[in-house]
Amino acid sequence: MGLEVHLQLATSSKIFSGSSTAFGGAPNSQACYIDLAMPGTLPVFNELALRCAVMFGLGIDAEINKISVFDRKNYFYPDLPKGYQISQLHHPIIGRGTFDLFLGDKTIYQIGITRAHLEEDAGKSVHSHFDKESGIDLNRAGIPLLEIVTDPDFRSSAQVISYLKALHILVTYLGISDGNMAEGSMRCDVNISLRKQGVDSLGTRTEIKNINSFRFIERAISFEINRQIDILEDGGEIIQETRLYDSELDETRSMRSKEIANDYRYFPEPDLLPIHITDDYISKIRNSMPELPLAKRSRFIETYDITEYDADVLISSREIADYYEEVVTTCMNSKLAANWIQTELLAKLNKSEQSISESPVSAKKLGLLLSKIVDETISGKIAKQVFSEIWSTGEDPLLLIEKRNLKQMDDSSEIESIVQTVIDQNADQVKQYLSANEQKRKKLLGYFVGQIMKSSNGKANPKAVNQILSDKLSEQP
Amino acid sequence: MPITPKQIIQISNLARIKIEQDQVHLLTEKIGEIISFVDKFKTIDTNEIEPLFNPLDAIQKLRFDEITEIDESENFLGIAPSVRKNLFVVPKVID
Amino acid sequence: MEIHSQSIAQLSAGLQRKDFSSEEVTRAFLERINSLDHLYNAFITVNEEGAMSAATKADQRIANGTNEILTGIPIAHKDIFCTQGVKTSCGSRMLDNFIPPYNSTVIGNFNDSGAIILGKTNMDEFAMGGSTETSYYGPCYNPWNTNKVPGGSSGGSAAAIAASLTPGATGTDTGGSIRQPSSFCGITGLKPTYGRVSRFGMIAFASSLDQGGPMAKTAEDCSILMNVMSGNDPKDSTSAAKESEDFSANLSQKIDGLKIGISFQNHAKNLDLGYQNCLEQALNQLEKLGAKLVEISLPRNSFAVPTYYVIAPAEASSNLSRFDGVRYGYRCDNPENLHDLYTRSRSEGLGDEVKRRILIGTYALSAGYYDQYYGKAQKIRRLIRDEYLSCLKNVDVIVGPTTTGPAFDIGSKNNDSISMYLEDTYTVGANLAGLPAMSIPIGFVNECPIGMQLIGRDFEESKLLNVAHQFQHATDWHLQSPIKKNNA
Repeated sequence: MGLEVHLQLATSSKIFSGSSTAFGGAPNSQACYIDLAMPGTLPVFNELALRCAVMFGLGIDAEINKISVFDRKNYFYPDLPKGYQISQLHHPIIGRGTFDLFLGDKTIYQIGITRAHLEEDAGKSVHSHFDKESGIDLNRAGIPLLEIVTDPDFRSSAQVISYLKALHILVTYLGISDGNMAEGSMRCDVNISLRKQGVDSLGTRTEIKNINSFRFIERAISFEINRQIDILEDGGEIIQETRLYDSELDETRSMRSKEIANDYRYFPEPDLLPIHITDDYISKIRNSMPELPLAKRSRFIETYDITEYDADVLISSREIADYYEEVVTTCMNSKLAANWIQTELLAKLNKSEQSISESPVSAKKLGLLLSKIVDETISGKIAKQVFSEIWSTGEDPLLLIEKRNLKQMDDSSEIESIVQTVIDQNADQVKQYLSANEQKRKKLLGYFVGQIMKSSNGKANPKAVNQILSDKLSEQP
Repeated sequence: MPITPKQIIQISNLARIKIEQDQVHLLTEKIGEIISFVDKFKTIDTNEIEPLFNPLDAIQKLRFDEITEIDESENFLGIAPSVRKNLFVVPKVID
Repeated sequence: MEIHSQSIAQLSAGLQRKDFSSEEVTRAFLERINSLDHLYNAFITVNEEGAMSAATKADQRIANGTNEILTGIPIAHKDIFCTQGVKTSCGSRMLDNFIPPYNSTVIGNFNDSGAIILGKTNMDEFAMGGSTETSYYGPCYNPWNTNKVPGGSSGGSAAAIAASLTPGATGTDTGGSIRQPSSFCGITGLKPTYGRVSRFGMIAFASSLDQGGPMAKTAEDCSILMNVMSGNDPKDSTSAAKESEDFSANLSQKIDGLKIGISFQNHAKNLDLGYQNCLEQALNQLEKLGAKLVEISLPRNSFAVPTYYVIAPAEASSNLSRFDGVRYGYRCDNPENLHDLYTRSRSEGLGDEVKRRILIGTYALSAGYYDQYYGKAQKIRRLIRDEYLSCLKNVDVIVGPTTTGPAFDIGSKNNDSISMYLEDTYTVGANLAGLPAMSIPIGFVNECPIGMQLIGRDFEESKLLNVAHQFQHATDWHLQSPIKKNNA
């Protein structure tokens, strides 16, 4: 399988006009005379779209073509106002590159990137409003896209999905796209062809379009693979065609309407000149590049001594990674920070459907809170209470610990007296303990500790409690 | 003949130009004539010649990414032949 | 001298001296159009109200001293330049109802200078033609002889100037569309270097060949129009990043020692004797002015017409795809389905020549033919440009005939595409190479004017205008008028 991903680039204006690219505007309110292909209007290329493409190229260590050329792809469609799409055929901006995938089994799988080229998006046909007619909204026409084409390197839908997820992470790190699949900022066409066992070459391929979620990708791929297998097993032939995935019926079907005329008559766009990229331009971009997800992943594993799994979660977005690093610098315990962010923070954010940038508890506050676990001022259990409280109040964790007097009891005389009280109040259990076997003892010990912690409102230092308790019990007659 | 009636029909389909059945023959002849005329240039050896797509010896200029266009949809939709609900209306688009 | 007989330079001076007001000048030309244009059909739209109200404003500018050289001067524009609020048809039924909500950069520049939009001139549909016969609004007639074509595609502009319906006009030139009608109508026209004049809002025919330019009675007037029209435009990616220059500054320079290249063998065989005589006299005149003639050879140029008739239709086939009946322009009645909407809107909205060229262009780009046609043509184009450039290393300008003969009879070439295309023999080379070229009147053949073409180096319009002005200083061909002839 090979993939073509259409990535919407994060520019504020369109690739060839000054119209807004904002999502969700009233129909045709963001389509200027250039987007509408009014007679005589001409395209001028958006610098940021170029910069985004170069950043992507640097991000996958691909060839960046010093000279690239826009071409016209000619076809008639109501969502294509000019009757041609400005794209790049022979001289794409980005040439060959590779994309490293870390799969669950700790192996690295390399996906070849064939090329990536710039092009403009088409508009949208709206079918639901009218009976026998369609409405055309051209707000999307002219939005900059980077089409990223892979080699046919995928062997399973799981690989496809992990590629898409990793791609999503990369482009959001680079800040070149929001990668939002639901809003169409990242769209995926899958080319599927089967290969007979023992045969070198791939069979005829079909292209599935219009897949807009990870779930649908998996389903569409498995439907299409089964469809092709059925045909081949029945002795049939696969037709090279474009198929549409229908998520409601969970099937792919042929898009015959697009097949009528597929002679696109590409030729160099005469309204635009060749794009020249200088080494200076590239090196300026290179110097301003953020750390890439894979580099960050390795660094986290190495310097913070966390597991690969933890690293994957923590680098899954630049915001989470930044948050994590701030917590670590504040509390000075990388593993504790990694655990807390995953089990407490992300879980809570997930529940409230908030992103980490909207978190009510800042990295600084969480770091301070965890630093109190590290220096044994409070226990993990107390810390969780504090966390809950500052989540809803936004209070400073240190002040709260102070105010509520939540500090751990370290004073051994104080703990001793609580332990003594508990022993006195549970004479029966103490007796049982003394005559019990190892296993029973453990259980009773837990009971005593629980009672002690309860009496101390959870503040007693557990280490001290254990020590004192076992001393006291061994002193019993 | 440099071009066949079948090709003329294919091309007119691609170009979305309707040709009446009784015009196909005449048009094939006329366009064939022009193609034969143009074919003269095939005698020139152009091996290793780089095509000149634009006479202007310059490179693409870049536009700063900013929104410079305001919503003028009222003006634009106002001159369209068929508009409803701010959408350009066409016969049903079938995918 | 009557207002309508004056050049732009003279009118400008008169306005400055307050000999007359812009309202008077504008009214004078509007009246001439109203009373005479039924003979020529040079205008598709006359901007009567808009022109008069612009004239009032221009008079205010003149009164308060903020006027520029073109303030208050009426100018006609080829109906290919989008004019906000004024119908812009491109000579086509397709755009018969099209009133652009925006201005082309060229029109914007004229408006800023205070020039008056007199009206929109007739043209071959989408500028495809050399006779202004393919216009949806009917043919335009040559003021020198109304049985003859005015040339094309900017025939309306040329005829309007020749008939003194306007002192100056804009045109566009893709393969000779400014120069050939200038030659046929006895006026002066300049096709600037590709990239000199913005193409924004100028309805595209062939993007890599199209160039707007001035048409007027004199080279001096062309220089004045160029000063306003030209300049780098951020809205046009193919607009040249050149400092704006004063095209009038070098007009009076002597052309002593100027090296003129001429390729006798290139055109001697096709040109009739009368034309050859005129050309020889004009060359003698240039020699008298101190120019030196140098024989040059342009063998590749004989392939220019076939090359042009691949590139231009190919680009046009794509440029005209936007005319689909969806967002503006002509839409067929009751389309059955999408395909029907497209094919019927386009077939009913576009004329035969346009459709023919779309088909040729589609063929030249289609799978399996691209390399043989479009790709090949662009390679020959480089050979042609290189040939011109190497000649222009040795000479300052290249001079020759503009056309193969004087204006031909209306209807005489309608059924012969090839002979119509061969009309462009001398002009298309400059478009393929992107070089500036102009046509100036040098005499008459069969009582019809003919022109001489001057081709210059990239961005050396000033030199062409200088040579033309010096020639016009010494001759009076440009002062001949069909009106005088008709009155005599």
